[in-house]
Amino acid sequence: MKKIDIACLIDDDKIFTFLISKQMRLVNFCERLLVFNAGDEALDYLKSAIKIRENMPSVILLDINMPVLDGWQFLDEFIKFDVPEKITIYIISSSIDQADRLKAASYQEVSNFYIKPITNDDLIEMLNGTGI
Amino acid sequence: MQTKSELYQNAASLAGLGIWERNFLEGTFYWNKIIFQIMEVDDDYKGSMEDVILFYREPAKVRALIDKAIVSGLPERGELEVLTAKNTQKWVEVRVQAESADDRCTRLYGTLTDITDRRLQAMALEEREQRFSKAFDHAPIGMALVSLNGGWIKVNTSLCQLFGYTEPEFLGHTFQEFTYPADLESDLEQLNLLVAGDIGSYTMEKRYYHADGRIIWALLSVSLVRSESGAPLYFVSQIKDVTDQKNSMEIIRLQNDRLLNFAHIVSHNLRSHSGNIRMLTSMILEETDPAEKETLVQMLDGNAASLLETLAHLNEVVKVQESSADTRVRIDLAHEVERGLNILSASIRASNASIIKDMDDGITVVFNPAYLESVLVNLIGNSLKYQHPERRPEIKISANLDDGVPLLIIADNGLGIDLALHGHKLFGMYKTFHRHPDARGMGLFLVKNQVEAMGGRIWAESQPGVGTSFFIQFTPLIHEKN
Repeated sequence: MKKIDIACLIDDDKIFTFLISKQMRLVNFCERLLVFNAGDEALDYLKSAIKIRENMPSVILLDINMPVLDGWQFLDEFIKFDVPEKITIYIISSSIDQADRLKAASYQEVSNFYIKPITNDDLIEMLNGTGI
Repeated sequence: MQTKSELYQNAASLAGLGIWERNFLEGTFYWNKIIFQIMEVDDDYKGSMEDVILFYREPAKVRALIDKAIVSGLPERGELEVLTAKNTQKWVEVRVQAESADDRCTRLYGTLTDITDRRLQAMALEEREQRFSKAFDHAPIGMALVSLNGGWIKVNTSLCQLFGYTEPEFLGHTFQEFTYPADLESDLEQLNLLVAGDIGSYTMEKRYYHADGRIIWALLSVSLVRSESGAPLYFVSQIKDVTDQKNSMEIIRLQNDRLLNFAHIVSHNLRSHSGNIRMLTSMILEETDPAEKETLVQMLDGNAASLLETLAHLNEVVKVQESSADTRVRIDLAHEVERGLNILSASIRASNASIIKDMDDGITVVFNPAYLESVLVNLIGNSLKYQHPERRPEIKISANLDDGVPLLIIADNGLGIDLALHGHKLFGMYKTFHRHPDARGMGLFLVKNQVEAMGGRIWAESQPGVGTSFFIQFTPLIHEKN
């Protein structure tokens, strides 16, 4: 199991982002964590990072229900980018609606779907699944 | 070579034609072989005229036929029922010609044919036709015979009741004239397939116009009657009124949508809080640093508070859904708009907004007063909240009656929303589209629920950077029962 270099967390729930950052430190998830509270802020960052090919995350943890640009709208924009290296995307959501799971599965860019609360085991599974 | 007489004999046998003669002058009597067979008597049978007449079930009819032939001197015919010597029931066709001299009948002759088969067939056919006619006239669903070009040929009582026209009013018109235009093409397409023989019948849901102008939803089944040679003759249409079912289905669909939406809200919003609480509690248990533990407990407290707030919101939504028609009263729309503006007067002054009113006088709506206040305050409040930073807010409030239906429009020159991107979640709970500190994502959600609970409709038009207009259509007053 190798530590992820840069991970990116996109979620508007500030309590959740605080808690998961803490948990990530506990399991030694990544070297650096970038937190965005809105989909469009994350898109702006990723767009320029991909352009200059620097500070690119290898993992994105993405929430669905967010104001302005939600998780789906983020994905629809993100898949248009010309990504030079593989970026693993995990959906993290409170939704237990099967429709959301199926929708996530329809994006080949999405590797897995995790339901909150996220446990340490979930994080370790993500680490293993990322395959670096 | 056969004699002519032999030829006649043979030909008569061939045709099944019985030939008979009674010569009263000479006292002779003749039956050919066929008659012996029809009457099922022995070859040596020699009955008197009266004996023979008694073979008939109604001797009086035979006598009447003979009398008629004697009086007229012309060939007469009749179809009569006989009971043969062996008690077989048969139908025969009798033809009689009488010859008279000095006002006395001298000779009777004629033919006799067994028509039992033909007669039974005809009777069966008649019975079938009567049965069809009875089924047609008294069917509980609408039925019609329709010509190949769509003209009504025959309609039953149920159809007349369904459409509100009498049978004479139908005839001379076509089903096309009664059909709701949008449903005509698919009906005609299937009709053509039916005539072409590609399909044997078809069933479809379609709309018709009732005599009073309203729309009727019907389940239509059509089959085609062809001649023996296969040529199309006419259509048989069955038309069942499904307007009530359609309307109920629509109500159920809307209720299901709302229920599903509510289930999503409950699932998502309660779960996100409880998920956080779970994460917090397990971290508090594991945390050894007292200061850090204190921070986590503070967060847990905040989370519990927002969980309660969410529950309060959900309760508001449930209350809207539960509210029934008895919370509705007649309200003067212009007066209520005035009240809404009063409530918001501080914010209006603060943002230096210009309010333009273009309200028709005397528009009354039937609405829950608290909901109408909520709708107005939320929509006008949104116009103020999401004003464009580079111009003075201008809010235009107009109301008019569109064909008796009250329509309220609240239009602003604010930020606008990209409806192509966000339209599907515009009225969703906890959906926000601008980074405004007060945006909670509850306003439009409640407004939509309140409008719909009162039987109205709400929709929006918007252009980013230009402005947003909200349209509210109220239930027309004429549909209200006092």
